[in-house]
Amino acid sequence: MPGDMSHAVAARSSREASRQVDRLVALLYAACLIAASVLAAVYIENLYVRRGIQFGFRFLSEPAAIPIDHPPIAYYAYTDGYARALLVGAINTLKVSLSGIVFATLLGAALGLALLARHPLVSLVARIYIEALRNVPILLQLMIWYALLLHLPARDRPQAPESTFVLSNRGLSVPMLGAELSPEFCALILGLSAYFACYIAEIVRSGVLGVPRGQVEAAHALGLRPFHRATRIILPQALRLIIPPLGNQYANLVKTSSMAVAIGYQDIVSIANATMTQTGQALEAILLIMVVYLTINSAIGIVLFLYERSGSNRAR
Amino acid sequence: MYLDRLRAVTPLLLLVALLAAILGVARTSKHSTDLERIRASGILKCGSHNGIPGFFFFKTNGQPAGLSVDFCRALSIAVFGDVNHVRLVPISMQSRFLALQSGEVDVLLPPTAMSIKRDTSLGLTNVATLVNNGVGFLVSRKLNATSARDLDGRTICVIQGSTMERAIVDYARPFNITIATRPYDNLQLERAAFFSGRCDGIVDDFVALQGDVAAAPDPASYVVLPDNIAKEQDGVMVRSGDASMEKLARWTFYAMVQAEEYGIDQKNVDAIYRSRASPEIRRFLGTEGDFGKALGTARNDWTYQIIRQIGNYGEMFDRSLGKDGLGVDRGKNRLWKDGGMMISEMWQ
Repeated sequence: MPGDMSHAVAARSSREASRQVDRLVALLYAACLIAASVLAAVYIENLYVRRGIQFGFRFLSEPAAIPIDHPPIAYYAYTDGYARALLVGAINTLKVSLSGIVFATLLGAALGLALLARHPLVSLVARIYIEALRNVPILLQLMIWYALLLHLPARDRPQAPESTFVLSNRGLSVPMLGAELSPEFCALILGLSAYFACYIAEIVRSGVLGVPRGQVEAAHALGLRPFHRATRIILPQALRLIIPPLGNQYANLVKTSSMAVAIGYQDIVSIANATMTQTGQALEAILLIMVVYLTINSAIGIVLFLYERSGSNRAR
Repeated sequence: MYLDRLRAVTPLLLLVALLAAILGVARTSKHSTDLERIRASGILKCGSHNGIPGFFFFKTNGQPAGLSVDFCRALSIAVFGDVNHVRLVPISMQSRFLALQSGEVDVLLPPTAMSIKRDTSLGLTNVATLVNNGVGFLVSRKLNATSARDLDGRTICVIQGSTMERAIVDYARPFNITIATRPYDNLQLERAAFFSGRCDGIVDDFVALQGDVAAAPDPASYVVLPDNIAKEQDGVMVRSGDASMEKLARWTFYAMVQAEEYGIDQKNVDAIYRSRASPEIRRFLGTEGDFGKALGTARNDWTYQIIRQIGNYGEMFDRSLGKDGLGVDRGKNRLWKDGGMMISEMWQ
């Protein structure tokens, strides 16, 4: 049919045109990339070579003049290298991020369910909490938490061994477990989990509401008990809606943990800053910061992706 | 297919290109030396940590003051001929070297301790020691400590990236004691943490500690321990690679020291300038000879202008750190002929 023929020709020529556009765009990208590389090289030349600094990672093995407060792994300032100091920083970032994620999720889930509660007072309280915390900058909140913790009573003499835990302006200590949490760590965990719980609460709420009403009604009709309705019908379906945006919030939390610098917690940014000050290797230090956050966030993304896939397989 | 992949990295690519373009172009200046570039910009950017009594702080009327501010103005007279080209840039302890390397500031002023590491590995150059200082501890009287040796097992708040962290470790080792450190990158936060009891003491140079006692909520409950655990030379640093800028900064300092040695101060400089002083003094003040021209200062009588507007070294010290400021003893910062360490190379 002549009509079909002209269609086919038109389709082929449009494919041809789009292929040409593709080529053009690819060429533009390549040009951009080359220009960027050249300019970056000029920049490095200016910043480094002219000032007598050599680009490279050799400084990593030099002894680091960075004392670290309560390092999570064995670390000796002035003996161990910058690599180890940065590793301690990365572990501190990981520590605070993971604890923050756990507490923010627990608090966020509770708040999200509270928002859905039938009792108006419960949902009102949850709503007020969320609006209050979500609309105040996290930096300010961290500083307030830290100031509050520093104004706790002083711990003048060693605590009695029988006490289960001691909270003072030197932090939280649990003698029975041999655990010592610094006020900086506590302030960071409190701040991050209180803040990100707000966003997680909204995600949980919308996830639960996103489950089609018919599903709940069908569960009713089948005579499932409220507990089984929640765990077997609502939760698996809500999780599929909750996990992707939850992953975003986790990534946000990890990145926001870099605010640690403001209250003197020695995370990767803090250690990298000190490294820059001492060695002048600013670009390398920033690259390392990027690598750490990228690694942590990619790992979280992969875990959530695997969980989501296994979850959706189960639901089917 | 692969276009999709390319599309995915578009924002990243564009960002990199933009960033590189801005930085690359910004740094590629047509002026070859630092001094020429500073002159062309019309602004001398002086970097110092602000809020440090004696060095760089704001008076109750909002005016910046301190020894670092005074020296910056003196340098501005050398570079531009007057003090109206100064921009004071507050920088953190952590970012100060980066700020100087990147051109955010042109000179780094005290309190910055000078060391061989900083002179050789940062692309920066130590130019002159403005204040000979020592490092010690400020502690709460509750500790009942009379010496730094009593600090075994105590926690001391420090500024991260400072030379003081090292000083503590080096001090503690021979006595076989452990002094824990709690680092902050922000001076105000560090001080606030100390005064609310987060640590048992702070470590800093004696000049700064003197200022802290004065500013403490309850000065009587704190004491500066007598031990001097390390020397510290607070000085001026510039970017390496421009000898003319280094010379200008160094001789600005010498001019102020030499003026004190000659007995020339803010009060008598006009009279001496007009009088028939000795040829040596006339050459120093720039009414004869060409020291200024040889150095590349904006005007040949730059020393006269500095003394008239800022004063000699002793006046600068007394105003901010000494008897009219923090009340710190002049000590090693007296002139060499008075038993101190302040000395100028010869003006001939």
